Amino acid sequence: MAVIEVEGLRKEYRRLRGGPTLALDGLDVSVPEGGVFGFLGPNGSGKTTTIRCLLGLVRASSGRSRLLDAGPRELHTVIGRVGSMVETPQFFPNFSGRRNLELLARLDGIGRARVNETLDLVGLGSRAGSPFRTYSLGMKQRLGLAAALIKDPELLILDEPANGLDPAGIKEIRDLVRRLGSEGRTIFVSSHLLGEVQQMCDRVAILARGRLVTEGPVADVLAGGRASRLVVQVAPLEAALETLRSADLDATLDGHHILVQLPAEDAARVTEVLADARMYVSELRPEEIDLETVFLELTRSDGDATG
Amino acid sequence: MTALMVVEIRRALSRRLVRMLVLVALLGIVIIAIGAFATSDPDAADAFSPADIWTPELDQSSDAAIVGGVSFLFLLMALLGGASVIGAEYKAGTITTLLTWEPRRLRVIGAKLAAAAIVAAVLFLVLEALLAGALAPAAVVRGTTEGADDDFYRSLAGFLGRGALLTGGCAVLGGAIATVGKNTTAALAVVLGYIVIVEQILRGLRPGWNAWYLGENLGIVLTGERLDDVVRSVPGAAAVLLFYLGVFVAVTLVVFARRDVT
Repeated sequence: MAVIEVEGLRKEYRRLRGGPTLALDGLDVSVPEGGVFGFLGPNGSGKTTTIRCLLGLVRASSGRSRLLDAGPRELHTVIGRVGSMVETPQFFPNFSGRRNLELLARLDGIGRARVNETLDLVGLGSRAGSPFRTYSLGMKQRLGLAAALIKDPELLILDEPANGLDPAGIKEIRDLVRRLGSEGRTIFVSSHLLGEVQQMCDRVAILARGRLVTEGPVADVLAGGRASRLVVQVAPLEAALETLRSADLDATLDGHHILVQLPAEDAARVTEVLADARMYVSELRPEEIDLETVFLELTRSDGDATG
Repeated sequence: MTALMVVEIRRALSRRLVRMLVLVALLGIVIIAIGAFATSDPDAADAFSPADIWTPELDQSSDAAIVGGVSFLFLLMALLGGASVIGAEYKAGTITTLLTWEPRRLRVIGAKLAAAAIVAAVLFLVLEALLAGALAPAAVVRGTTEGADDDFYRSLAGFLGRGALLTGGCAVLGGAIATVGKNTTAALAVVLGYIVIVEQILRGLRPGWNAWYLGENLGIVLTGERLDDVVRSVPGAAAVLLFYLGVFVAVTLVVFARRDVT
């Protein structure tokens, strides 16, 4: 069952000056139940608008969005099962973190004990009594995360949760998100930190200019439909390149190594060809593709997606 | 809805501006009470009396009754408080957070306006009662209690009831305009600008329309007395005010329900 379904979602912001801005252009996304789902895209690609549409904060111009099988008009029937954090969370600046959280918690009949427990969970227990205005960006993010988690939700929607956090904080959030995802909850997380997304997500969707570019398990998206390649380190490079090519292998020079278009299980063919020519490899490994590379390739090829 | 309203009332009472306005009002009450006590001469003909505390007449020849005069300030404070409760929500950006907990917008705005009205009305009653109580020693010890009969207390109670409703209405009006303008200052500027400038100009140009002006209708409802030059009964004036408020609230509900929260 899909916990989030978006079909042909289109959102055009009308402005008094400068004409309308198209934020979403027929977006389709389906998020299955359980696990961590990464939602990626360059600035202005429509990530936050999608989240705002799902949470009923903005009205889609056309298309369909459903959250836990509820449309925007029935959102109130499922909102108790959804925790969310949209961009940098905002709270009353003169109220303490605890007071802010208590006021929200009261809406759902959540008691003080759970408030304190959640504040401790996000590492804000010791500063919970300080006014929100004195919080650093990282502390504000933690309070936003606490507000999202306090309902013990089955679906968690997090928009850039690691924004403003230091490396230790980023790791904490990553571990927390992974743990929550492994408990059977669904975590829908948008982020710019592609390394983080790669480490914590099971599936990802990449969008550019308000449209879906690709979607699927992280490994599949990383493969991106391209043939796998082997990285070969050998000397002399030019002679080795000629040897490989003369053996009908698709080899190219890439800096200080050679890339051979072959799956990892056929690596022995490379060593055989080079050894026959009395050239011995010093390094032979499958090429590793990171999400950043795939992301940049996909979003660039889709057009000039910029912030 | 109840939980939402309780939260909104708690939040309104926790606001620094609301607490500051109450503090200023309390300080004013103390100063007025001391002034009344110090300046009253029990042997003089104009010794401090119940009529100085409360009299409904608005005509300029009569002495201004303190409780009635001060109530206009309380109306302004309610306007500011109501506007601030909602304006602050937009300024801080917390409306986004709130709507991710309660997506039914009409409930959210309804609870906010109702909470503003309740807080304003209750504070009005408490502060006016305190003011009247603080003035009593001046009448008892250094003035006269003549005239403090059943009619006086009935009239005072009626004034407090009408005043509480008007104060609540002003808080709703402030909140409604702040919702549309997403700003406290905008709400104050609109209301004060209208009453002080627009209505004054209209009075000069169209004196015959005075039965429809906000100021006149407010005065009639607050005092519970007809004005000499305005053809409007107290219930009629209340209906006019209710109509104006209804229009503002209806516009607010439509705008808030349809607005993109970005």
